[in-house]
Amino acid sequence: MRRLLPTTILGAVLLVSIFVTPNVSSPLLSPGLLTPSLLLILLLGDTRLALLGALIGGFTVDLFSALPFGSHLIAYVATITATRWIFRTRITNRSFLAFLSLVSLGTILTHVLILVASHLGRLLDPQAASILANGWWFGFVLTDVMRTIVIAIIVYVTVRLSGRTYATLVSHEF
Amino acid sequence: MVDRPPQRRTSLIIGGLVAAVVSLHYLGALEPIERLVIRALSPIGRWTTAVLSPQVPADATGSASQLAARDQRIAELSVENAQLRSALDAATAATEQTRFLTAQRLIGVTGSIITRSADPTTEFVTIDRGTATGIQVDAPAIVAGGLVVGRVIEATNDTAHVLLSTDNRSSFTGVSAKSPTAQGVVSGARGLSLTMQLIPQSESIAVGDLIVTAGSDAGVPRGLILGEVDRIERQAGALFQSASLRPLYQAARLNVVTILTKTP
Repeated sequence: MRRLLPTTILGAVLLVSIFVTPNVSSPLLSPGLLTPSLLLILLLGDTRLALLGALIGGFTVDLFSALPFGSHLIAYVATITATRWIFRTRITNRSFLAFLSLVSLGTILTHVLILVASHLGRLLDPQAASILANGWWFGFVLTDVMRTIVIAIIVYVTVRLSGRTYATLVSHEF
Repeated sequence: MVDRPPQRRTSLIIGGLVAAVVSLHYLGALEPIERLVIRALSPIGRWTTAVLSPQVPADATGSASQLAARDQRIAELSVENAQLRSALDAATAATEQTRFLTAQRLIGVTGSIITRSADPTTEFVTIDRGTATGIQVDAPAIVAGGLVVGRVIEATNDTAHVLLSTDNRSSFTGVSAKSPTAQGVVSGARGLSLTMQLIPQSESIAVGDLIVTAGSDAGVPRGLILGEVDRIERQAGALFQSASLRPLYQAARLNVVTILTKTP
């Protein structure tokens, strides 16, 4: 039952990311809520749900993307796995700054992995779109900044609403 | 038997699962599941597109909306003008897609946009019609009046991805509607506008000229409108000149497009 709320939110975020965000915002400023949501769930302690969300979310996004199939699936799952490893072994400091740094690192990692996976995927599916175009890095940087801001707001609101401190939210063991 | 730590085992399982899903997709084994997911989610896409990207502004009040309406009207008039030039027997200005297709003896499939690119650097839309209705890769996508909005880059049985003409990767051979020898390559420019390059310096082209398809690209008939010349760049001594084009459609307003399935 404790997973019902995050699962519902994750499902809603997935649908919004695929169908709503591309319609209402500038592509350059699209916050791309799925990656920060998965990272948030991971960093707040539910590794299994984050991995499951990455699998299902990546699969669904790939079905509606012109990039080679697997680009998002591989990128999301690898990001969650890598971020989890970094949080356990490298960045053991549980400060808010460390948390935001990880989110930022995770979103950049997602972009890099999508880039690599989409190029490798074009070997299997040459007709698929390529993500590289003039100024692609500009869009990436903008969305990464936006995602970090979004997650900072979400964490701030969560801490305020739950009445807990940030340290108790992320003091769990992975 | 190797005794692996639980976390490494989990990573291996997840990695294997991802590899299996991707492999099964390319082998076509997941098609029934994928079709089911697409069919289940397509109504949400159609609904959000219809609600969030109406063809006509829902609340037309204030000076900004009046300006937008005026722009829309100017675009409609340009489309109508191009139709009269490009169609051999189009004596009347047809604005509806079906009338245009009939006049041009074209056959097309109309599809609703179910989603748009979520990637910040890619300009494409996905429609709810695929190869089952005769859509093929490279077929042009048009809207009312024969205005080219893009080209099919990928198609499944039930869906097709249309790369919009404003995307950097889009490319069409275009020609001035006024001067049939002023030919060049029309490409997208950062998702915002179009550029026409490799126009011979000797050819006459002017701001306001309409650029139409040259008919030399496979599956793309002559006379479909690509855009209007906004700015011309000429350099003394150069072999070619280039032009910046204004696309006559707004990607955010698109919710239905027609894919040409058969051309003369």
